[in-house]
Amino acid sequence: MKILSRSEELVLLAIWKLEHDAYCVPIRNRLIKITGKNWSFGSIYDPLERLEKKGLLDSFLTDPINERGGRRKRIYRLTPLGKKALLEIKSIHDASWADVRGLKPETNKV
Amino acid sequence: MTMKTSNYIKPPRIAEWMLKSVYSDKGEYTHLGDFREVFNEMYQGKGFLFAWLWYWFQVIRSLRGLISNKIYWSTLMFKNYLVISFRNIIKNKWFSVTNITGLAVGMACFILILAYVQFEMSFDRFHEKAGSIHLVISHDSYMKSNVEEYSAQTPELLAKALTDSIPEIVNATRIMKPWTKKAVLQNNEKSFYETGLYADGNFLSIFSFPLIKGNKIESLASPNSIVISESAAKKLFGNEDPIGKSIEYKERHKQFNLHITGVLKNPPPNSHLQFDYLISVPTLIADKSNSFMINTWEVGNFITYVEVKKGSKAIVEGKFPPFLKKYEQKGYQLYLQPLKDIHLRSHFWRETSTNNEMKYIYLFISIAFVILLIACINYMNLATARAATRSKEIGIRKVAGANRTQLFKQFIGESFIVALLALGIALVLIKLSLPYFCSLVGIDIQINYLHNTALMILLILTVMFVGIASGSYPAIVLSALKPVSILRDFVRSGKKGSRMRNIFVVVQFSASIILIIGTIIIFGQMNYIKTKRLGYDREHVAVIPIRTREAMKETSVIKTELLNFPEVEGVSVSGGLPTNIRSRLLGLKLEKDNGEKVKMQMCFDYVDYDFLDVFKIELLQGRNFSREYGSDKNGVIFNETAVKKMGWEEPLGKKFSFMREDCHIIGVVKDFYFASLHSHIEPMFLSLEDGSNIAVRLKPGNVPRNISLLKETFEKNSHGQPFDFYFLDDAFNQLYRREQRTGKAFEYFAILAVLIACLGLLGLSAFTVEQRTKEIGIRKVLGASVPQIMTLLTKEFVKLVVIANVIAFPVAYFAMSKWLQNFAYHISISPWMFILAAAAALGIAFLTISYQTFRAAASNPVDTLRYE
Repeated sequence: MKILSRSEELVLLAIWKLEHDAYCVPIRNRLIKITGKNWSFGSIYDPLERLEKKGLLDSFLTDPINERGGRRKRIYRLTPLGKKALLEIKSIHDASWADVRGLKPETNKV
Repeated sequence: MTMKTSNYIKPPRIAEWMLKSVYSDKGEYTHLGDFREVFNEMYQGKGFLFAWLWYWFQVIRSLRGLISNKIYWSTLMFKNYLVISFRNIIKNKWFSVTNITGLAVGMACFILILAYVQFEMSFDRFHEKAGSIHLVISHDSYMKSNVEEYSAQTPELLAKALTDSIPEIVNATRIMKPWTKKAVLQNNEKSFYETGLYADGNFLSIFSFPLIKGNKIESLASPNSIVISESAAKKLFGNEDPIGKSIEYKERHKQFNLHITGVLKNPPPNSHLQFDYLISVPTLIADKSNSFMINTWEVGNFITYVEVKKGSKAIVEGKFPPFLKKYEQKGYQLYLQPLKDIHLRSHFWRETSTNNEMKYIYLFISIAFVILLIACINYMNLATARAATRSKEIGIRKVAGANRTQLFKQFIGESFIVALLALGIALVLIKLSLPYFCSLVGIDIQINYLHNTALMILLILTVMFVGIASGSYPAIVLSALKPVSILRDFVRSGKKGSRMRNIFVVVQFSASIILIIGTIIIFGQMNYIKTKRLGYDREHVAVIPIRTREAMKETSVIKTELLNFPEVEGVSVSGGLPTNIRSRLLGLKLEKDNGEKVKMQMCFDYVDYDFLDVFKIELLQGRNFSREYGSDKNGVIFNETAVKKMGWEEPLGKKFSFMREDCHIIGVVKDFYFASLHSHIEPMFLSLEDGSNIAVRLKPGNVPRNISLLKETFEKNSHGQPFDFYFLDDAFNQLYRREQRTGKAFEYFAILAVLIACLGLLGLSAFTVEQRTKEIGIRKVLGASVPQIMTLLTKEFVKLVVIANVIAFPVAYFAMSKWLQNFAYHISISPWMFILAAAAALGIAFLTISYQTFRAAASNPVDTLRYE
């Protein structure tokens, strides 16, 4: 299996963290908070759809909600395969960061 | 939570609608909910404006991607469709040629006819004031005749009286036709026949005939001024400046020396007023011999146009009765005819031009659509018939995920490509056939696509119409095929499809048969007119019109000299000719046998002693004019109808007063048709007086030599009037020019329609035969003969053509009997016409399919069954 991309990894992690309320809006909010950058909806829908297709995620629909103009929420959960992929990427991270030394921001830059 | 719901707002509706199209999430549109949530959050945190702007920004940002995505995929698919279409066109050459030729011919006819219609509809619209100019027409209430009751001619005083007493009439102008249709314009040695008008000083400021030189207010204001057209100026003066020059103007009774005060652009062909010169009305008034029609209400020789305030036509017409009362005018009413309608919707006595009729325009439009429809049906039939051969492609596409809309678009697109190819060929055909078409309808149409927006739009619409009309049915049928059944058991085109095709064939042939019957009946009526015994003999008669006063004096000399030639059988000098006696008296006072005095409307003409002999008109009672009777100046000859109307037992010797003279009847002629067969024979009489047409009855023989004899003799005595002649036969044909043109046009278009329909039948029969090759093979193996198989294959098509006949007959009968009612004298519709049309249609259809059926029937069964 291919290694997850960075955005896929971030999305999967966010879903894991959000537990039962993992739909697009909180996922996006969380990503914005963590990365400090603006995430468009498109940049969330895309990986979500891709991950679901790959079988790392599955989703279900809630009942229609008034505040959402009568639209349902699509709530995502990690599948076992998703969890495995996350763990795998973590081990890659750990391994690749294990003996990195002296990597710090340049201070004398104007 | 309660706070939130109460403050809950909706995002902009349009924006949300646009966002909906970006993404569907399997039809759930959950993303819209997401956007709403964030939108409300923003609204609560940062206010409505911020949220609103944010939402719109999201939409716009996503739209860019959406559009480029759509374009990318659709071009990709379009390229594919294009490739497939062209492959199909090339692969099935026979089929494509049939289709494209049919469509091209249909489109060429369609565009030509509509260009003609456009020209006819554009008459007199180029005048700036076209919307407010009206022709004043009069209607005599005591004229009981049923033809041309409305007259375009009105008295001289009318124009001024109208502007004085009706405030809605802004301006009025008058024109008058010269006494002779053509007059001589002479500049020293150069002289030419030209047609023209007398026109009021304000004529050029009301009508927009642009002047090249001269002043539009002054040029026609004073006596002895003439404005000539560009082409007349070129002929008379070459490149010299004609302004201020003087020319001689000669017509039968008059001769003027006129000063040129302006040069006009030639009137455009779509003007109902056509002229090469305009002479000022003051010239006419200054001429003492015209005093009888000047300053009077009694004689109406002028044509009056008024400019009314916008939209006040009805108001003005409402004011006419009190107006006429004020001026003590009795016995007639006035009406307004809008300028734009003159060409197509007027038919008045003494009109300025021969006009067309709206019903012929409608007729042409219907023919155009019928032909195009026949061509479109060809495409539909052949495309659906061939569904089987393309079903695999459709099946694969469907399996690969194409939905019905996409397939529909593909097939519509294909028909558009075919329509475009056909248009290309049609444009070439139009270019080639335009001269013939122009002479067919009798006008010079310029087809200039780039300068004619309407025509451009027409081209686009034609392609759209053909694309949609011919493509939509096949597209529906083909896109509805079920992939599973196609790919599993290779369907043949179904029973239902063939029923529809049969209906189409019936429609095509019905239309063609209607056109054939129309042609036969028009041809029959024209032939009837040509061969009808009209009561006079119009063959071998040459007519020389006299147009100048000097030549007028010499008529008797010319007549005597002509009679010396052995080639000349007889000569008559008369006012009118038997084809055309138009002078009309409104109320001739006559007395019936019982003493009752009546006023009768009568036609009359001036003739000489030889008129009846030259034209071979039969005398019923009494005698012809004779030189032996000194009193014949007062004798008149009545026609049968007049005598019958009066109910006289003994018409000879009856007295009445005409032109302040006492006249008596010396003879009665058998009725002859002195007008066109559109109208009934009217009461008429002939009187002895000088005329201005020399009619020469020639012995049949060498026509050019005879004409040169006439020319020599005439020019020797005419004092400079150029020789000019026509055959009476041609003048007679002129009376039916419109019908003849319609007939000819009908004939050609009927032939084309039949050809196109046959093209379709040819393709269809080829297809049917191809589908049944194996069946035919088996039949042959089992002992069927070639004729048997041919009958089998032909039977179906013949059945369709027979049904088409049944449908076409009543329609054609109804339409053509209406047309025949235009003629007071006409043929009756007889069954043989229908039988002939049916036989023609059947024969043509049979010939068309026989090639294919014969080939199939004669084929060796071994070849067709080898691989089973």
